[in-house]
Amino acid sequence: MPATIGLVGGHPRVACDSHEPAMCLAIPGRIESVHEDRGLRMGRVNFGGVVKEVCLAYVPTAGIGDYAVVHVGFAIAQIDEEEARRTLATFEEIEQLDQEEPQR
Amino acid sequence: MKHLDAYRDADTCRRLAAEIRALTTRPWSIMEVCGGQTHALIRGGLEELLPESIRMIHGPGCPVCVTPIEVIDQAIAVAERPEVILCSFGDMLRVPGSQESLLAAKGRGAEVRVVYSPLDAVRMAEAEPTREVVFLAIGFETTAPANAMAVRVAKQRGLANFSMLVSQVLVPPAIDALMQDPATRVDAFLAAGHVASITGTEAYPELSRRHGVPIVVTGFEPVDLLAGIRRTVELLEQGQAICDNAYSRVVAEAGNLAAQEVLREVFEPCDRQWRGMGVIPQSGWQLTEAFADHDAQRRFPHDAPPASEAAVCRSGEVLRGLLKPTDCAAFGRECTPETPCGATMVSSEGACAAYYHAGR
Repeated sequence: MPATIGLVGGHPRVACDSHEPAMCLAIPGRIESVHEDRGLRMGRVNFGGVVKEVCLAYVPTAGIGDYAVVHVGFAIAQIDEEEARRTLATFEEIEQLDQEEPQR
Repeated sequence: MKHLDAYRDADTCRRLAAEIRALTTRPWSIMEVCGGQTHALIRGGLEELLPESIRMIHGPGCPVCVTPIEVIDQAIAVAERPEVILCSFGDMLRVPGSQESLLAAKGRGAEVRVVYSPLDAVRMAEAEPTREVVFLAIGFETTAPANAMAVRVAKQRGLANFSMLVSQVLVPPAIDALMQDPATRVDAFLAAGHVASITGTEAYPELSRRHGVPIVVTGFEPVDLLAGIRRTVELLEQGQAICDNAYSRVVAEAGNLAAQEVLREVFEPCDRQWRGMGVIPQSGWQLTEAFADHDAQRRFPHDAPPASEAAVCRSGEVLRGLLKPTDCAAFGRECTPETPCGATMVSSEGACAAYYHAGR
Protein backbone atom coordinates (compact mmCIF):
# COMPACT_ATOMS: atom_id res chain seq x y z
CA MET A 1 0.00 0.00 0.00
CA PRO A 2 1.43 3.36 -0.94
CA ALA A 3 1.58 5.98 1.78
CA THR A 4 -1.38 8.29 1.47
CA ILE A 5 -1.53 11.89 2.51
CA GLY A 6 -4.53 11.19 4.68
CA LEU A 7 -1.96 10.20 7.28
CA VAL A 8 -0.39 13.66 7.37
CA GLY A 9 -3.22 15.09 9.41
CA GLY A 10 -3.52 11.97 11.51
CA HIS A 11 -6.85 11.06 9.94
CA PRO A 12 -6.28 8.19 7.53
CA ARG A 13 -9.59 8.27 5.72
CA VAL A 14 -10.67 7.68 2.19
CA ALA A 15 -12.88 10.12 0.38
CA CYS A 16 -15.93 7.87 0.25
CA ASP A 17 -16.26 6.75 3.86
CA SER A 18 -18.67 9.49 4.95
CA HIS A 19 -21.89 8.10 6.41
CA GLU A 20 -23.82 10.71 4.46
CA PRO A 21 -22.78 10.74 0.81
CA ALA A 22 -21.24 14.09 -0.10
CA MET A 23 -23.22 15.26 -3.07
CA CYS A 24 -20.29 17.03 -4.69
CA LEU A 25 -18.00 14.07 -4.45
CA ALA A 26 -16.87 12.66 -7.77
CA ILE A 27 -14.58 9.65 -7.93
CA PRO A 28 -12.81 7.78 -10.72
CA GLY A 29 -13.88 4.29 -11.67
CA ARG A 30 -13.24 1.77 -14.44
CA ILE A 31 -16.04 1.00 -16.89
CA GLU A 32 -16.67 -2.76 -16.88
CA SER A 33 -19.69 -3.02 -19.15
CA VAL A 34 -21.99 -0.84 -21.23
CA HIS A 35 -25.69 -1.33 -21.94
CA GLU A 36 -28.78 0.62 -22.93
CA ASP A 37 -31.85 1.14 -20.80
CA ARG A 38 -34.68 2.46 -22.97
CA GLY A 39 -32.37 4.68 -24.96
CA LEU A 40 -30.24 5.77 -21.99
CA ARG A 41 -26.54 4.80 -22.11
CA MET A 42 -25.76 2.97 -18.85
CA GLY A 43 -22.88 0.86 -17.58
CA ARG A 44 -21.30 -0.94 -14.65
CA VAL A 45 -18.39 0.97 -13.13
CA ASN A 46 -15.84 -0.48 -10.70
CA PHE A 47 -14.59 1.74 -7.87
CA GLY A 48 -11.75 -0.24 -6.34
CA GLY A 49 -13.89 -3.35 -5.99
CA VAL A 50 -17.31 -1.76 -5.50
CA VAL A 51 -19.34 -1.99 -8.71
CA LYS A 52 -22.19 0.42 -9.36
CA GLU A 53 -24.70 1.08 -12.09
CA VAL A 54 -23.84 4.44 -13.67
CA CYS A 55 -25.33 6.58 -16.44
CA LEU A 56 -22.80 6.92 -19.27
CA ALA A 57 -24.82 9.30 -21.47
CA TYR A 58 -22.33 12.12 -20.88
CA VAL A 59 -19.26 10.09 -21.84
CA PRO A 60 -20.48 8.86 -25.24
CA THR A 61 -17.04 7.75 -26.46
CA ALA A 62 -15.94 5.97 -23.26
CA GLY A 63 -15.91 2.19 -23.46
CA ILE A 64 -14.98 -0.87 -21.43
CA GLY A 65 -11.62 -0.40 -19.68
CA ASP A 66 -11.79 3.40 -19.79
CA TYR A 67 -11.82 5.39 -16.57
CA ALA A 68 -14.47 8.03 -15.85
CA VAL A 69 -15.16 10.43 -13.01
CA VAL A 70 -18.56 9.62 -11.52
CA HIS A 71 -20.83 11.97 -9.58
CA VAL A 72 -24.31 11.12 -8.20
CA GLY A 73 -24.62 8.13 -10.50
CA PHE A 74 -23.43 9.89 -13.65
CA ALA A 75 -20.08 9.70 -15.43
CA ILE A 76 -19.26 13.38 -15.97
CA ALA A 77 -15.84 13.10 -17.61
CA GLN A 78 -13.68 10.44 -19.19
CA ILE A 79 -10.15 10.50 -17.77
CA ASP A 80 -7.61 11.45 -20.42
CA GLU A 81 -4.84 8.87 -19.97
CA GLU A 82 -2.30 10.90 -21.94
CA GLU A 83 -2.89 14.01 -19.80
CA ALA A 84 -2.70 11.88 -16.64
CA ARG A 85 0.68 10.51 -17.74
CA ARG A 86 1.90 14.02 -18.51
CA THR A 87 0.78 15.36 -15.11
CA LEU A 88 2.45 12.52 -13.21
CA ALA A 89 5.63 13.02 -15.25
CA THR A 90 5.81 16.68 -14.15
CA PHE A 91 5.70 15.54 -10.52
CA GLU A 92 8.63 13.25 -11.18
CA GLU A 93 10.55 16.16 -12.67
CA ILE A 94 10.08 18.05 -9.42
CA GLU A 95 11.59 15.09 -7.59
CA GLN A 96 14.63 15.09 -9.87
CA LEU A 97 15.10 18.84 -9.41
CA ASP A 98 14.88 18.25 -5.65
CA GLN A 99 17.65 15.69 -5.77
CA GLU A 100 19.88 17.85 -7.94
CA GLU A 101 19.47 20.88 -5.70
CA PRO A 102 22.09 20.07 -3.00
CA GLN A 103 24.86 19.65 -5.57
CA ARG A 104 24.48 23.18 -6.93
CA MET B 1 -6.44 2.32 -7.29
CA LYS B 2 -5.57 3.77 -10.66
CA HIS B 3 -6.09 7.54 -10.98
CA LEU B 4 -6.41 7.85 -7.20
CA ASP B 5 -3.39 6.54 -5.25
CA ALA B 6 -0.84 8.57 -7.22
CA TYR B 7 -2.74 11.72 -6.28
CA ARG B 8 -2.72 10.84 -2.58
CA ASP B 9 0.98 10.10 -2.39
CA ALA B 10 2.55 11.67 0.68
CA ASP B 11 6.00 12.13 -0.88
CA THR B 12 4.61 13.96 -3.90
CA CYS B 13 2.68 16.19 -1.51
CA ARG B 14 5.79 17.04 0.49
CA ARG B 15 7.73 17.80 -2.67
CA LEU B 16 4.99 20.07 -4.00
CA ALA B 17 4.80 21.80 -0.62
CA ALA B 18 8.59 22.36 -0.70
CA GLU B 19 8.20 23.90 -4.15
CA ILE B 20 5.45 26.16 -2.91
CA ARG B 21 7.66 27.32 -0.03
CA ALA B 22 10.51 28.01 -2.43
CA LEU B 23 8.26 30.00 -4.78
CA THR B 24 6.58 32.14 -2.11
CA THR B 25 8.12 35.54 -1.37
CA ARG B 26 5.03 37.38 -0.08
CA PRO B 27 1.79 36.66 1.77
CA TRP B 28 -1.03 35.50 -0.50
CA SER B 29 -4.67 34.72 0.18
CA ILE B 30 -6.08 31.98 -2.04
CA MET B 31 -9.75 31.02 -2.00
CA GLU B 32 -10.71 27.46 -2.83
CA VAL B 33 -14.24 27.97 -4.09
CA CYS B 34 -15.47 24.42 -3.65
CA GLY B 35 -16.49 22.88 -0.34
CA GLY B 36 -15.19 19.50 -1.47
CA GLN B 37 -11.76 21.07 -1.77
CA THR B 38 -12.12 22.69 1.66
CA HIS B 39 -12.73 19.28 3.20
CA ALA B 40 -9.84 17.68 1.32
CA LEU B 41 -7.49 20.46 2.46
CA ILE B 42 -8.48 20.12 6.09
CA ARG B 43 -8.86 16.35 6.23
CA GLY B 44 -5.46 15.86 4.61
CA GLY B 45 -3.81 18.41 6.89
CA LEU B 46 -2.55 20.19 3.78
CA GLU B 47 -2.71 23.68 5.24
CA GLU B 48 -0.02 22.60 7.71
CA LEU B 49 2.29 21.76 4.80
CA LEU B 50 1.95 25.24 3.33
CA PRO B 51 4.15 28.19 4.31
CA GLU B 52 2.53 30.48 6.85
CA SER B 53 2.32 33.29 4.32
CA ILE B 54 -0.13 31.30 2.19
CA ARG B 55 -3.60 31.70 3.63
CA MET B 56 -6.35 29.44 2.30
CA ILE B 57 -9.78 31.09 2.44
CA HIS B 58 -12.76 28.79 2.21
CA GLY B 59 -15.35 29.78 -0.36
CA PRO B 60 -19.11 29.44 -0.89
CA GLY B 61 -19.00 26.34 -3.09
CA CYS B 62 -21.09 24.13 -0.87
CA PRO B 63 -24.43 23.55 -2.62
CA VAL B 64 -26.18 22.46 0.56
CA CYS B 65 -24.92 25.55 2.41
CA VAL B 66 -26.10 28.11 -0.12
CA THR B 67 -29.55 26.62 -0.78
CA PRO B 68 -31.88 29.34 0.50
CA ILE B 69 -33.83 28.82 3.71
CA GLU B 70 -37.03 29.50 1.72
CA VAL B 71 -36.33 26.52 -0.56
CA ILE B 72 -35.97 24.24 2.46
CA ASP B 73 -39.22 25.63 3.89
CA GLN B 74 -40.88 25.01 0.54
CA ALA B 75 -39.48 21.47 0.33
CA ILE B 76 -40.90 20.76 3.79
CA ALA B 77 -44.32 22.18 2.78
CA VAL B 78 -44.32 20.01 -0.34
CA ALA B 79 -43.21 16.93 1.61
CA GLU B 80 -46.12 17.40 4.00
CA ARG B 81 -48.67 16.86 1.22
CA PRO B 82 -50.04 13.33 1.62
CA GLU B 83 -49.62 12.39 -2.05
CA VAL B 84 -45.94 13.47 -2.16
CA ILE B 85 -42.70 11.53 -1.76
CA LEU B 86 -39.92 14.10 -1.47
CA CYS B 87 -36.53 12.82 -2.62
CA SER B 88 -33.30 14.52 -1.69
CA PHE B 89 -29.56 14.02 -1.48
CA GLY B 90 -28.73 12.87 2.04
CA ASP B 91 -26.83 15.90 3.22
CA MET B 92 -29.84 18.22 2.74
CA LEU B 93 -31.89 16.49 5.43
CA ARG B 94 -30.35 18.05 8.50
CA VAL B 95 -30.09 21.60 7.13
CA PRO B 96 -32.21 23.93 9.26
CA GLY B 97 -35.07 25.75 7.53
CA SER B 98 -36.75 28.67 9.25
CA GLN B 99 -38.65 26.36 11.63
CA GLU B 100 -37.19 22.89 11.21
CA SER B 101 -35.24 20.57 8.91
CA LEU B 102 -36.49 17.98 6.41
CA LEU B 103 -35.35 15.35 8.89
CA ALA B 104 -37.63 16.80 11.58
CA ALA B 105 -40.51 16.91 9.07
CA LYS B 106 -39.79 13.26 8.24
CA GLY B 107 -39.95 12.48 11.95
CA ARG B 108 -43.43 14.02 12.03
CA GLY B 109 -44.56 11.71 9.24
CA ALA B 110 -43.72 13.52 6.01
CA GLU B 111 -42.49 11.11 3.33
CA VAL B 112 -38.86 12.13 2.76
CA ARG B 113 -36.49 9.68 1.11
CA VAL B 114 -32.75 9.92 0.49
CA VAL B 115 -31.51 9.10 -2.99
CA TYR B 116 -27.94 8.61 -4.20
CA SER B 117 -28.72 9.57 -7.80
CA PRO B 118 -31.52 11.67 -9.30
CA LEU B 119 -32.32 8.67 -11.51
CA ASP B 120 -33.32 6.80 -8.34
CA ALA B 121 -36.13 9.35 -7.94
CA VAL B 122 -37.25 8.73 -11.52
CA ARG B 123 -37.35 4.98 -10.85
CA MET B 124 -39.41 5.69 -7.75
CA ALA B 125 -41.94 7.66 -9.83
CA GLU B 126 -42.19 4.67 -12.19
CA ALA B 127 -42.64 2.22 -9.36
CA GLU B 128 -45.23 4.30 -7.50
CA PRO B 129 -47.53 5.79 -10.15
CA THR B 130 -50.16 6.86 -7.61
CA ARG B 131 -47.71 9.07 -5.72
CA GLU B 132 -46.19 12.42 -6.65
CA VAL B 133 -42.41 12.10 -6.57
CA VAL B 134 -40.68 15.46 -6.09
CA PHE B 135 -36.89 15.62 -6.35
CA LEU B 136 -35.08 18.47 -4.58
CA ALA B 137 -32.66 19.37 -7.37
CA ILE B 138 -29.88 21.37 -5.80
CA GLY B 139 -26.26 21.68 -6.81
CA PHE B 140 -23.65 23.45 -8.85
CA GLU B 141 -22.73 22.84 -12.49
CA THR B 142 -21.28 19.44 -11.50
CA THR B 143 -24.67 18.08 -10.44
CA ALA B 144 -26.79 19.94 -12.99
CA PRO B 145 -26.30 17.40 -15.83
CA ALA B 146 -27.51 14.55 -13.59
CA ASN B 147 -30.55 16.53 -12.46
CA ALA B 148 -31.24 17.64 -16.03
CA MET B 149 -31.08 14.07 -17.31
CA ALA B 150 -33.48 12.89 -14.61
CA VAL B 151 -36.24 15.30 -15.64
CA ARG B 152 -35.55 14.68 -19.33
CA VAL B 153 -35.88 10.92 -18.86
CA ALA B 154 -39.06 11.39 -16.80
CA LYS B 155 -40.57 13.49 -19.57
CA GLN B 156 -39.57 10.97 -22.26
CA ARG B 157 -41.11 8.14 -20.25
CA GLY B 158 -44.32 10.11 -19.73
CA LEU B 159 -43.98 10.19 -15.94
CA ALA B 160 -46.46 12.96 -15.11
CA ASN B 161 -45.95 12.20 -11.39
CA PHE B 162 -42.28 13.27 -11.39
CA SER B 163 -41.28 16.85 -10.74
CA MET B 164 -38.24 18.78 -9.49
CA LEU B 165 -37.89 21.60 -7.00
CA VAL B 166 -34.90 23.30 -8.61
CA SER B 167 -32.30 25.38 -6.79
CA GLN B 168 -29.30 25.15 -9.11
CA VAL B 169 -26.39 27.57 -8.66
CA LEU B 170 -23.42 28.59 -10.79
CA VAL B 171 -19.80 29.23 -9.80
CA PRO B 172 -18.57 32.06 -12.09
CA PRO B 173 -21.28 34.58 -11.02
CA ALA B 174 -20.41 33.82 -7.38
CA ILE B 175 -16.71 34.55 -7.96
CA ASP B 176 -17.76 37.75 -9.69
CA ALA B 177 -20.04 38.75 -6.78
CA LEU B 178 -17.32 38.00 -4.22
CA MET B 179 -14.77 40.12 -6.07
CA GLN B 180 -17.23 43.02 -6.31
CA ASP B 181 -17.60 43.00 -2.53
CA PRO B 182 -15.06 45.46 -1.09
CA ALA B 183 -14.76 43.32 2.05
CA THR B 184 -13.28 40.41 0.06
CA ARG B 185 -9.54 39.91 0.44
CA VAL B 186 -8.66 37.28 -2.11
CA ASP B 187 -5.58 37.31 -4.37
CA ALA B 188 -6.41 34.22 -6.40
CA PHE B 189 -8.90 31.39 -6.80
CA LEU B 190 -8.70 27.64 -7.02
CA ALA B 191 -11.62 26.72 -9.27
CA ALA B 192 -13.39 23.40 -8.83
CA GLY B 193 -12.33 20.90 -11.45
CA HIS B 194 -15.58 18.99 -11.60
CA VAL B 195 -17.55 22.16 -12.31
CA ALA B 196 -15.11 22.97 -15.10
CA SER B 197 -15.27 19.42 -16.46
CA ILE B 198 -18.87 20.24 -17.38
CA THR B 199 -18.70 23.89 -18.40
CA GLY B 200 -15.11 24.07 -19.64
CA THR B 201 -12.82 26.90 -18.62
CA GLU B 202 -14.32 29.51 -20.94
CA ALA B 203 -15.80 31.75 -18.22
CA TYR B 204 -12.59 32.13 -16.22
CA PRO B 205 -10.06 34.09 -18.34
CA GLU B 206 -12.45 37.06 -18.46
CA LEU B 207 -12.98 36.93 -14.67
CA SER B 208 -9.20 36.75 -14.16
CA ARG B 209 -8.62 39.81 -16.31
CA ARG B 210 -11.47 41.88 -14.93
CA HIS B 211 -10.60 41.30 -11.28
CA GLY B 212 -6.84 40.91 -11.67
CA VAL B 213 -6.77 37.47 -10.05
CA PRO B 214 -5.23 34.21 -11.25
CA ILE B 215 -7.74 31.35 -11.39
CA VAL B 216 -6.39 27.80 -11.44
CA VAL B 217 -8.70 24.87 -12.11
CA THR B 218 -7.78 21.84 -10.07
CA GLY B 219 -9.01 18.57 -8.60
CA PHE B 220 -9.87 17.27 -5.16
CA GLU B 221 -7.09 14.90 -4.22
CA PRO B 222 -4.22 16.21 -2.03
CA VAL B 223 -1.68 16.17 -4.87
CA ASP B 224 -4.11 17.94 -7.21
CA LEU B 225 -4.79 20.63 -4.61
CA LEU B 226 -1.11 21.24 -3.91
CA ALA B 227 -0.27 21.23 -7.64
CA GLY B 228 -3.07 23.79 -8.11
CA ILE B 229 -1.76 25.92 -5.26
CA ARG B 230 1.78 25.67 -6.61
CA ARG B 231 0.65 26.94 -10.03
CA THR B 232 -1.42 29.68 -8.37
CA VAL B 233 1.54 30.91 -6.34
CA GLU B 234 3.70 30.84 -9.46
CA LEU B 235 1.18 33.04 -11.31
CA LEU B 236 0.81 35.37 -8.30
CA GLU B 237 4.57 35.80 -7.96
CA GLN B 238 4.85 36.52 -11.70
CA GLY B 239 1.96 38.98 -11.53
CA GLN B 240 -0.03 37.07 -14.12
CA ALA B 241 -3.82 37.33 -13.78
CA ILE B 242 -4.69 34.46 -16.07
CA CYS B 243 -6.63 31.22 -15.90
CA ASP B 244 -4.78 27.91 -16.01
CA ASN B 245 -5.84 24.28 -15.88
CA ALA B 246 -4.01 22.02 -13.41
CA TYR B 247 -6.54 19.18 -13.85
CA SER B 248 -6.12 18.41 -17.53
CA ARG B 249 -6.75 14.67 -17.15
CA VAL B 250 -10.39 15.48 -16.32
CA VAL B 251 -11.05 19.02 -17.59
CA ALA B 252 -11.09 19.76 -21.31
CA GLU B 253 -11.08 23.44 -22.26
CA ALA B 254 -14.45 23.12 -23.99
CA GLY B 255 -15.97 21.07 -21.17
CA ASN B 256 -18.43 18.23 -21.65
CA LEU B 257 -20.33 18.95 -24.86
CA ALA B 258 -22.88 16.14 -24.41
CA ALA B 259 -23.78 17.51 -20.97
CA GLN B 260 -23.92 21.10 -22.21
CA GLU B 261 -26.42 20.11 -24.89
CA VAL B 262 -28.80 18.58 -22.34
CA LEU B 263 -28.31 21.51 -19.95
CA ARG B 264 -29.32 23.97 -22.69
CA GLU B 265 -32.44 21.95 -23.38
CA VAL B 266 -33.54 21.63 -19.74
CA PHE B 267 -32.32 24.74 -17.93
CA GLU B 268 -32.18 28.49 -18.49
CA PRO B 269 -30.29 31.11 -16.45
CA CYS B 270 -32.09 33.00 -13.69
CA ASP B 271 -31.32 35.24 -10.73
CA ARG B 272 -30.82 33.15 -7.60
CA GLN B 273 -30.83 33.77 -3.88
CA TRP B 274 -27.77 32.35 -2.08
CA ARG B 275 -28.04 31.56 1.59
CA GLY B 276 -25.67 33.93 3.38
CA MET B 277 -24.89 35.94 0.25
CA GLY B 278 -28.19 37.36 -1.02
CA VAL B 279 -29.43 37.49 -4.60
CA ILE B 280 -26.74 37.12 -7.25
CA PRO B 281 -27.89 38.06 -10.77
CA GLN B 282 -27.95 35.23 -13.33
CA SER B 283 -26.32 32.88 -10.83
CA GLY B 284 -28.72 29.98 -11.16
CA TRP B 285 -30.62 27.74 -13.49
CA GLN B 286 -34.35 27.08 -13.63
CA LEU B 287 -36.35 24.68 -15.79
CA THR B 288 -37.24 25.88 -19.27
CA GLU B 289 -40.87 26.25 -20.38
CA ALA B 290 -40.67 22.84 -22.10
CA PHE B 291 -40.35 21.24 -18.65
CA ALA B 292 -43.02 23.36 -16.92
CA ASP B 293 -45.16 20.26 -16.26
CA HIS B 294 -42.30 18.81 -14.22
CA ASP B 295 -41.56 22.00 -12.29
CA ALA B 296 -42.51 21.51 -8.64
CA GLN B 297 -42.31 25.27 -8.12
CA ARG B 298 -45.30 25.66 -10.44
CA ARG B 299 -47.11 22.48 -9.48
CA PHE B 300 -46.98 23.01 -5.74
CA PRO B 301 -46.95 26.80 -5.34
CA HIS B 302 -45.90 27.89 -1.89
CA ASP B 303 -45.59 31.45 -0.71
CA ALA B 304 -42.65 31.03 1.62
CA PRO B 305 -42.40 34.11 3.79
CA PRO B 306 -38.89 35.57 3.77
CA ALA B 307 -36.93 33.79 6.47
CA SER B 308 -33.77 34.71 8.28
CA GLU B 309 -30.86 32.79 9.75
CA ALA B 310 -30.67 31.95 13.45
CA ALA B 311 -29.38 35.13 15.09
CA VAL B 312 -26.31 33.38 16.47
CA CYS B 313 -25.26 31.96 13.09
CA ARG B 314 -22.51 33.72 11.11
CA SER B 315 -22.44 31.28 8.20
CA GLY B 316 -22.90 34.14 5.72
CA GLU B 317 -19.51 35.53 6.70
CA VAL B 318 -17.98 32.04 6.65
CA LEU B 319 -19.33 31.45 3.13
CA ARG B 320 -17.85 34.71 1.89
CA GLY B 321 -14.47 33.88 3.37
CA LEU B 322 -14.66 36.75 5.90
CA LEU B 323 -14.70 34.57 9.01
CA LYS B 324 -12.97 31.34 10.01
CA PRO B 325 -15.48 28.86 11.48
CA THR B 326 -13.55 28.75 14.74
CA ASP B 327 -13.94 32.53 15.15
CA CYS B 328 -17.72 32.14 15.48
CA ALA B 329 -18.86 32.18 19.14
CA ALA B 330 -21.38 29.39 18.52
CA PHE B 331 -18.86 27.02 16.90
CA GLY B 332 -18.59 23.75 18.82
CA ARG B 333 -20.82 25.10 21.58
CA GLU B 334 -24.50 25.46 20.63
CA CYS B 335 -23.58 24.72 17.00
CA THR B 336 -22.37 21.18 16.20
CA PRO B 337 -23.15 18.76 13.34
CA GLU B 338 -25.80 17.14 15.58
CA THR B 339 -27.43 20.47 16.48
CA PRO B 340 -26.42 22.80 13.64
CA CYS B 341 -27.36 26.50 13.74
CA GLY B 342 -26.52 26.95 10.09
CA ALA B 343 -25.98 25.00 6.90
CA THR B 344 -22.18 25.25 6.94
CA MET B 345 -22.15 22.99 10.02
CA VAL B 346 -24.36 20.40 8.35
CA SER B 347 -23.07 19.64 4.94
CA SER B 348 -20.22 17.28 4.37
CA GLU B 349 -18.82 20.16 2.34
CA GLY B 350 -19.47 23.01 4.73
CA ALA B 351 -16.42 24.76 6.19
CA CYS B 352 -17.75 24.62 9.77
CA ALA B 353 -18.36 20.86 9.58
CA ALA B 354 -14.89 20.39 8.08
CA TYR B 355 -13.27 22.23 11.00
CA TYR B 356 -15.42 20.42 13.55
CA HIS B 357 -14.60 16.95 12.21
CA ALA B 358 -10.90 17.81 12.05
CA GLY B 359 -11.06 18.68 15.74
CA ARG B 360 -10.12 22.32 15.27
